[in-house]
Amino acid sequence: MSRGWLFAVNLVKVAARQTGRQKADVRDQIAALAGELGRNFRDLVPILLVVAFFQLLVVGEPMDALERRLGGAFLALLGMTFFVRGLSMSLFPLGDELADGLARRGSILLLLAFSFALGFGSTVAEPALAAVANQAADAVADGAGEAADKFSRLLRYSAAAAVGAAMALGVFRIVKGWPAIWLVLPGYALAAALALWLPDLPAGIAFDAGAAATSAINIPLIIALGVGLASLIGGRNPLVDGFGLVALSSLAPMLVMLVFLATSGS
Amino acid sequence: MFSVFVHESLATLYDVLPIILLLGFFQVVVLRRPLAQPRRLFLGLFYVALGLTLFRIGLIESLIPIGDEMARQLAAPAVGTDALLAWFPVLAFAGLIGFSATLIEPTLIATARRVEDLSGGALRPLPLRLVVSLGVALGLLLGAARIVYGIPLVHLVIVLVLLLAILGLTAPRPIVPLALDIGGVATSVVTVPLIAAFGIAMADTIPGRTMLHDGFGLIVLALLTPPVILLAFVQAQAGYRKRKEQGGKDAV
Repeated sequence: MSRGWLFAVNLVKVAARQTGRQKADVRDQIAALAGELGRNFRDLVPILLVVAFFQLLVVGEPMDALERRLGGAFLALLGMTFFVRGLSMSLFPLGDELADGLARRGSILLLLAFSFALGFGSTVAEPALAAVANQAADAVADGAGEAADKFSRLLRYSAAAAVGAAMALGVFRIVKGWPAIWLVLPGYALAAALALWLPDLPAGIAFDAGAAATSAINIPLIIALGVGLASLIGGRNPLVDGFGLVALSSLAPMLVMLVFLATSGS
Repeated sequence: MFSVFVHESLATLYDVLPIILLLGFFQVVVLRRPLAQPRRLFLGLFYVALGLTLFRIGLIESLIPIGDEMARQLAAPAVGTDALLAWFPVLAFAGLIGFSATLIEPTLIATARRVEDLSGGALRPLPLRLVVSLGVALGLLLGAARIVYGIPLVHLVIVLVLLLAILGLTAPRPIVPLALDIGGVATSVVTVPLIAAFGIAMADTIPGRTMLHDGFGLIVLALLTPPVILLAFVQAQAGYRKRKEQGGKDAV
């Protein structure tokens, strides 16, 4: 643990030294990160209290491998602080700028292609989807191994493609000005009908994979795209027309995964 | 530990590559624009890769095993009974952990701030986050009870979607798209890994339940309840205001 940790610290130092021309720049970065880390720690307290309460008073035994769990929680928190800050420095401004530039070009086809690419790429990187996909693969392939790895990857890439398609459809909806609920309700009805019709299907995997597909990386990009487009197009209200893309982006992978599970015969 | 770090770094790079290549393609080939602030951009990308790597190690070492072990420890003593009281600790844990995990979801915090700006301050961030966290808590309570009593997931999904349809079609129109999105926003990086492991371990502990058919479903229920709760809340508030106005008129 300490070696990996030292390595990480050194990497940050090297990167900061190489990229920051002035020392003050680096100091600002570190101060901002430290501030965010502190806030995240404070936010974590309720979760720690809930777990500690149940572990000590209900179970009545100390937690197994407590140091590992605490160390892991610290790493998760540190990682979250870094990636949230990194996203707001890189992918978010880039996505905003691209959406704006493409929308001003006025080519709807280009805009739809961009929406697909944004949805697909950001979903592949989602850590929460990866966690659920791995657990689904373990349950379906009965233990980890090559078959489980393959299933997990297939699940993630098809969920990502579904999010991409949903983004393109959702952007088309904003351009046309349709209410989001007219796409969302029939979609859920279809998903429920499929799950009812095929009761042997492990439908929970499909539903959960879809719900996990929209998370920390793609949601801010999706909302920025929707709100940005709704503000650019005349006669649209950013709050009314800009939202609705996330709901479609969770729903589409559910439908795709249901079909995928039904046809793969598991 | 070090080999875990290397393995997870490579996996992260592999996962982050598509979005970088795709956005780079649109920026350079389609728009033919140079990168604005390239130094900041690359430092940001480095933070993303490093942060995701550390986060994934944290998930494997902490969030996932905690969800798994809590479910096993709390469910095991109740196995063999149908009494609600025996299952109370598991159900209470599911609800409370859902509430506290949703409150700190970075996605929900950022979205709530954005909504405040867009609504001109009418929708304040903390009440929105509290209502949504309550929704997730109820969804998880429902989901954990479903695993205990073996209720088919699709039945609960149908009930929630029907409620969503009724409330969504009668609610004030401006709130509906936000309500539809808020469930996906609420189930994000903190909540999802914790509760996914929790559900699977519960199904594994309780005899007669299978991981494949009963272990999954907590996340989708946590996704569907917040919109229902938020819309119900908005409707109740609107109804209360109307009655107050009418009451005021009657008095005059």
